[in-house]
Amino acid sequence: MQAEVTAVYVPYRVLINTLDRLRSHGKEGCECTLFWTGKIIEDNKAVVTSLFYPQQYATALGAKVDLSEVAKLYLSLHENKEQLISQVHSHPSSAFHSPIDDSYPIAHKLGLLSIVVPYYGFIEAKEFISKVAIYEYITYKVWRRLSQDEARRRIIILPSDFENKLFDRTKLLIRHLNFPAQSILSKLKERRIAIVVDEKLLLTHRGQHMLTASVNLLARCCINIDVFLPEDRVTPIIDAPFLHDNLVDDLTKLVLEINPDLSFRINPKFHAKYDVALIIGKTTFAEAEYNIFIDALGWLSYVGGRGSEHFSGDSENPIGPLISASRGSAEVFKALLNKMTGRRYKPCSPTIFSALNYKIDQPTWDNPPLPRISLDDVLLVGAGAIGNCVAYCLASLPSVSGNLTVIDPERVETTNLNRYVLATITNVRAYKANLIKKRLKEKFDVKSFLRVYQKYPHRREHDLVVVSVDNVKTRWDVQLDFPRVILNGGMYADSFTISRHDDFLNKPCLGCLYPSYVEMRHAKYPAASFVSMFAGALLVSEILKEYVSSLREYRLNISFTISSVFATPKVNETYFVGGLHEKSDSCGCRCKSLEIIEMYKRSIMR
Amino acid sequence: MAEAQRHEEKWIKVIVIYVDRSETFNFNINFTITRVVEEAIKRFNLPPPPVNYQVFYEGKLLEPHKSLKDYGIKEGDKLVLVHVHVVG
Repeated sequence: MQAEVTAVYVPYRVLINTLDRLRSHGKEGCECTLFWTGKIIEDNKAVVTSLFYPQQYATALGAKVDLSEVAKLYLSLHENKEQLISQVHSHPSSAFHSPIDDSYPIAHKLGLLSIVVPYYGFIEAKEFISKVAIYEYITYKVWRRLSQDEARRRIIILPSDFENKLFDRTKLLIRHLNFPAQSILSKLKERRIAIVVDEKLLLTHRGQHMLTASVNLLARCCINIDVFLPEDRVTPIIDAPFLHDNLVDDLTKLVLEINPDLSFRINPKFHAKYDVALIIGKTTFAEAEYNIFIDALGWLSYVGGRGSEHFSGDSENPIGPLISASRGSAEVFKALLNKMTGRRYKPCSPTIFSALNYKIDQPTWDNPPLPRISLDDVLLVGAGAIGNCVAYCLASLPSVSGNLTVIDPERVETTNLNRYVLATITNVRAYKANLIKKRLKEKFDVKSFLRVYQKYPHRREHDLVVVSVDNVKTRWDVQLDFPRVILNGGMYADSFTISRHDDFLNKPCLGCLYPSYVEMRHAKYPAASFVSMFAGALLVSEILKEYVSSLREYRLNISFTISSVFATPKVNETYFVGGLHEKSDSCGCRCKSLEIIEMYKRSIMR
Repeated sequence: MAEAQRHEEKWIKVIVIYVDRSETFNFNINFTITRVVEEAIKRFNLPPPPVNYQVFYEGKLLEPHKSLKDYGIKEGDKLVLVHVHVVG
């Protein structure tokens, strides 16, 4: 028996189409019956993907569906691997289940919902849940009416401005790049991208990491995506969030959970003409105007306008593949922006970047495997965009487990979904720290603290602190608690900085890097997931370098900045800038003052 | 010859779909559609009587007394089990 569906997410367009159909019958004085079909996603929740309108014999007293239409519905469910979520029908006046409704359900399926809509559907969309009667099929010919509270918990109508909220920060990024955001977003709906996987890479760790992360990142900023795989059924061999036992099904569900209105197909029968293709590996694909190639191995990441000849074999290390997915997705977005504004896109020059020595022109070819590592209570302050990517990367490391404490007082909002790679619609309103706890629970013992850092009672007990907050004050406060090592990450629009602070007396501290107090908390800033993923993967590479003695020579010397994953305003090149900072006279922590130095000395004595 | 055909023991695997579930059955090609329904409602744990159910094959409604062989149903084919749906 199938488990009960605990919540059903209904896209606003499905609700509007439902009411339109019911009203069109209502205008003729007839009832109408419809069906909501969809997919089961995580935690036994479901997303309604389509509305099935069958041919029917309808009158003012009822509607009888043609049996061949029922067969057509069932066959479509089977072919699309979908579930029947609910039958929906209208009444001329009040909403209730009649004895006929009880006795002739569309299916004897326990947990099936039946929604009765009053007044032939002539009700406001916003009062849908309060006006309709919702029943659940509990045993043969027996239905249970859901209370209003239960109905609100079980049927979640996505708001009419869901898409606006989802693309809110992407729009700001487009504006930041001096493009007209609103017109580009409407044009984005007409653009189709392809993700193509080389058959040699599909069954490798690096190939599956690049594919899974690219789908995750691009589903947060694009609207039409087709994926081409050499096989229809692929068993995941990697550890990664959202993957279970079938990569094709898992990715389909993931995209549906990120944006139910996104058009996503894997190995579609009918190919479209694609604006851009992201090619994982070296395979050829003739159906896109631009091809962007990515590849990776271990710590190394490749992006270019042609396939790489540098890599062979496999590595379980996800760092390089996640950076490649991030850089490749940025290139795809860049190419789309150029295309939509009538500019010529110049494919980026082939570049190899090493997460070990941070060099793009002279990467180290050193590519050591990772030993088994157990983290001992790493503290992550901030579970936002970069914090999500840190956790994604940790979850993707097969040989790393241990203890992690996550601090964040905030809850996930819809506007976060464009860059929170662990979040989907099912996590909106969940605590951000608890989201990370949930995604890492199989490998890490995660404690979440749901208040601000300043209220955390064990703040001076952590040796290694990763800071990925959106405000300077917390960075200063972390610094003045003097953990042995601070790894810091921050992003704005298309740029990010990561930094490492381990010598308070002699090297720049976090206050030197952030000398002035700029309150960013709750500020709306331009952002994209492909920026935060790059930063998150590098922060995790720094965590690993702390734990593996053979990697210590590669530890970051103070800071590394990518000033733009695009070059504005031409949006043509990818820029990388490495930077060192001196200890600053205008440090926000006043780290050169005797008082603070004394405080530091007392702290290390403890 | 006719006698031999009647006793033909040819078994085929057929997929029966009911709502969003599907099950594979091993049917003799001489089974009637009524027998198919009986087997299917047992496996899907659906309430009897079988007469309440109908079977579709390639969009066509199958008559209860006819056999799988009469409709040319072969290995791997899909049958859809439905029942009357009315709201009022």
